[in-house]
Amino acid sequence: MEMDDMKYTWEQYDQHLSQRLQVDEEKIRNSNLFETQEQMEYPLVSEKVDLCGNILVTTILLALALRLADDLRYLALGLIIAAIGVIYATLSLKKIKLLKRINYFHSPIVKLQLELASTKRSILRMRKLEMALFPLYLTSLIPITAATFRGADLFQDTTIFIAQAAGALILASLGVFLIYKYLYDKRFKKAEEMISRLKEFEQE
Amino acid sequence: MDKERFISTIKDNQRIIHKVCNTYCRNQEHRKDLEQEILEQLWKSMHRFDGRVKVSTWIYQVALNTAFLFYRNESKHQQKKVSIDDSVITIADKTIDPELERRVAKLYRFIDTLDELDKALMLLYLDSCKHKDIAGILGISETNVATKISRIKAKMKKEFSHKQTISHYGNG
Repeated sequence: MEMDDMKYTWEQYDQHLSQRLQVDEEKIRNSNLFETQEQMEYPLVSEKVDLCGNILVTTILLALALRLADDLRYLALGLIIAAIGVIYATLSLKKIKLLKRINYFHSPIVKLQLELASTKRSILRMRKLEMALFPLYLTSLIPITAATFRGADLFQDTTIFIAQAAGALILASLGVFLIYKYLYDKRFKKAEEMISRLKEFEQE
Repeated sequence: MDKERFISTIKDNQRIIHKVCNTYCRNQEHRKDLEQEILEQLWKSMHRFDGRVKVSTWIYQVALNTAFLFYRNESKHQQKKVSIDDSVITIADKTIDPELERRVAKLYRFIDTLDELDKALMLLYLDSCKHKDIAGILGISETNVATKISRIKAKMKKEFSHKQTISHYGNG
């Protein structure tokens, strides 16, 4: 079959469809299709929830640290948490900006796919940074929550503090390592492959 | 845009939606899901259609972009936002000339061997879209469109001549 035969077959097929295809108008009218509004995509909603959650948690932890600010060590931990919280919030805002930029259905296919893949790559990079900071965030909040909710001064008993902090650090780091390896690295690789394939397609 | 105008636009361009669904989904259930997804995206984005391109070009753009997203996330398309029990676009009379059916099936088998971007290119080319329109929908240059079409032609020639050789020796 040559391309001309193929086009001829397609034209015949098109004619065949034009005579036989029908739209069930009632089905469309009775569906909830017209109730659907332009909605935010799931990642964008998720980022907005993350941003609000992060601001709330960081504010609470900072307030708790300030209550214990007589001891400068708690204040230092509160400041570390606040700094990480600011980094998290900045990254969330950047991700929201990236996701909002995507014009889903009015972009040429290659451009949209490139935008999606590049956004995915950037978001994965930012998530990796967030994950890397998480063990430090977790370790910093342990003494503050212990003092607030259990009245325990972990700085008095450095053995317990070191044991708890080391345990949290090891577990969190292991979790981060596994998530990196089995989730982010694979996704990142896929996004990279997609970008190079699209660029190749664009430039060939 | 009101419902009636939307429905009439769908009626006028049902062949495009049907062909995009058939090209990207060989499974009937997925085809139905993709059709619903395309209808939903068309409805949601129709108010932004500014008439700078032909309606058919715009429908191709939305349908192909939806198919691409659907194709990449097929497993994630479990939750249905729109509830339509069955396909909206159906073939009223299923009788088809057996020779045409055989040739169309052969054509779809060939299209199936192409990657998702080439599938879109092939579909637009077969539907006699101008190179300029194809370039606009895909987001590549017109020269690139021409190059890719000739590559697909070469691939097709090779594929079909290879199959003919096999059937020739097989019969011999």
